[in-house]
Amino acid sequence: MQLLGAMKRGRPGIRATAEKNEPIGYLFILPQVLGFLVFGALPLIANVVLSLYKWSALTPPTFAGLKNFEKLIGDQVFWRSLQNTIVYSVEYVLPCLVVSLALAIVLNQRVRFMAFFRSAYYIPVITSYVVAAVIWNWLFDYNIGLFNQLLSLLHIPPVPWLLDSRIALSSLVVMAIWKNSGYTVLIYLAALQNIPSEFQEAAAIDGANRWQVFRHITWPLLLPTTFLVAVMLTIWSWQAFAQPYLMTRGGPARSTTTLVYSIYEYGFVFYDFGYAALVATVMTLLVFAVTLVQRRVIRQSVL
Amino acid sequence: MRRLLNRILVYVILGGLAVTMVLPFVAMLSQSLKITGEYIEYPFKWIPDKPTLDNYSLLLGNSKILRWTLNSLVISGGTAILQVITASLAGYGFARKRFRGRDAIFWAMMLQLMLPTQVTIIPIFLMLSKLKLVNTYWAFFLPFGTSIFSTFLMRQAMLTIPMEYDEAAKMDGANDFHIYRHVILPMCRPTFIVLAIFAFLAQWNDFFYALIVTQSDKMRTLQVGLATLQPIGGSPGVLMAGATFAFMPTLVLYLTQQRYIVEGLQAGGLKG
Repeated sequence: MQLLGAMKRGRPGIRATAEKNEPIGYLFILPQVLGFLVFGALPLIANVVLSLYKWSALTPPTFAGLKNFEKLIGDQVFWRSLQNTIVYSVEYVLPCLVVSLALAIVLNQRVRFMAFFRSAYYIPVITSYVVAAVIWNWLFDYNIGLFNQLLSLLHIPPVPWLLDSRIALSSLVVMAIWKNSGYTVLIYLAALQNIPSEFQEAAAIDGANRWQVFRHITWPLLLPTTFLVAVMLTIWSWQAFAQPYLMTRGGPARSTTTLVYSIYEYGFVFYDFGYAALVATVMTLLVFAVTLVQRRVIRQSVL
Repeated sequence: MRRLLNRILVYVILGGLAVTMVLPFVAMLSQSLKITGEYIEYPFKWIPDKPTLDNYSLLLGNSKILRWTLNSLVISGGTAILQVITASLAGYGFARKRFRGRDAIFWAMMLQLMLPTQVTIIPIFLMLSKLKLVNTYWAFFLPFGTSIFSTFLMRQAMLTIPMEYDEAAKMDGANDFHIYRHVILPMCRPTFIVLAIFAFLAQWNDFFYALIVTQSDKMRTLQVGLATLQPIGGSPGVLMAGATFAFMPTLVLYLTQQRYIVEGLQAGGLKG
């Protein structure tokens, strides 16, 4: 949060003035800047160059011009993975915000065992996706999974959670909400605790009921947090890889192939490095575009 | 009366959700203690009838899990140490020194932070394989030995310290490195610890990158190794034992370092 807050403000450090120059500063930032250049900036440029080449593991790279791009336009798998990523992102971000806001409001009242509740929500956040996937593969299992066992207690027929192309992606979203919503709860809780209680008390004295206090006092004050969290969750949701890799292999029928999963597959299963680099470049541009649009929305509706 | 009902409702909601969050882990532990017959039994039993450590001994005896754990410790520990060093050095430069282009360099790096790291995997992999570093620890130490996010947090922490400290130390004849090491760094201790924990956790939990740059069974990290694990001796509980094994260090770290972890999460420390 500090991070996005600072990016929004663009706060400079101690101002660099003309009269005082301390070149020793370059020495301090050198390792970090080298790391950034070699493993951050350079690969971004290399991606663009690589996407103009036909390069597989066995043959030497040859210049291919826009061949990769032409392939991309007609590539069903790419378009499907883009669609899946967007669906995953929308299905994930909105419920995650709603659920965690509700939970944070409840937690913000003075409750006993607060430490226990908080820990219970945070532990999935710091758990790895691999551990989570081992557990959820069993929970979702058609034959012996816990979910279908619970359904059968209610005399509901078993659900093919990961085996049906119409619901597999949503199943992954459910798991992602379980794993990550504790994080959003934490952010909302911090924001709620920053709202001076005088505001709500004053409104209550004026005769506002609980819903009115929330609607007209709390919610507007939470808007900046909400938008910043939305940006962050969106960027993260675009990174979905471990879930489809470990739980569905992008299937059934490509229904859970995400963008990152397709980059992995083109690059490290088919060894088509040039094409994988093109998909990565397109993804870079899309993420930038989505972030810029969201920032604009934030500016207009909050500031 | 209404107040009481309200109170009860709050605890029911919070308790119900907390239990929902935690139950999958209880089930994991429970399943890891069952032999095949009981594992697939219907209905599921939260407490095994005949708990057994067979799955754990199969795991330790028939997989390289100890080696994977060692790899993960070296990789996570090594990158955490490198990161706090490079980030605190850079944080000092960005927050407390004035030099041409400083803010431009800083914000150029911040721009990169908006991008998911996965988009640069192809060039990074090709570069590492040219340098013959794929499948070595260096494939982790080099790219993750520096971190823009850690630098950002270090800089933020160092910006809050008044400049008088530096000036006083300078009067006493201290050089810049001395001021960094003995004046500023000790004052940023909490941030330093938060960064170390999060750098460690991020690497410990990472799957995508480790999957691509480790290739032999011997070099796998714990997460990648766990992902390649198949039921040993036909016992599906082995996977649950592996998950429990990989989960425990995270849990211990959380329970012992809760304050720092919550603080780090609030700063936006962990990538979902």
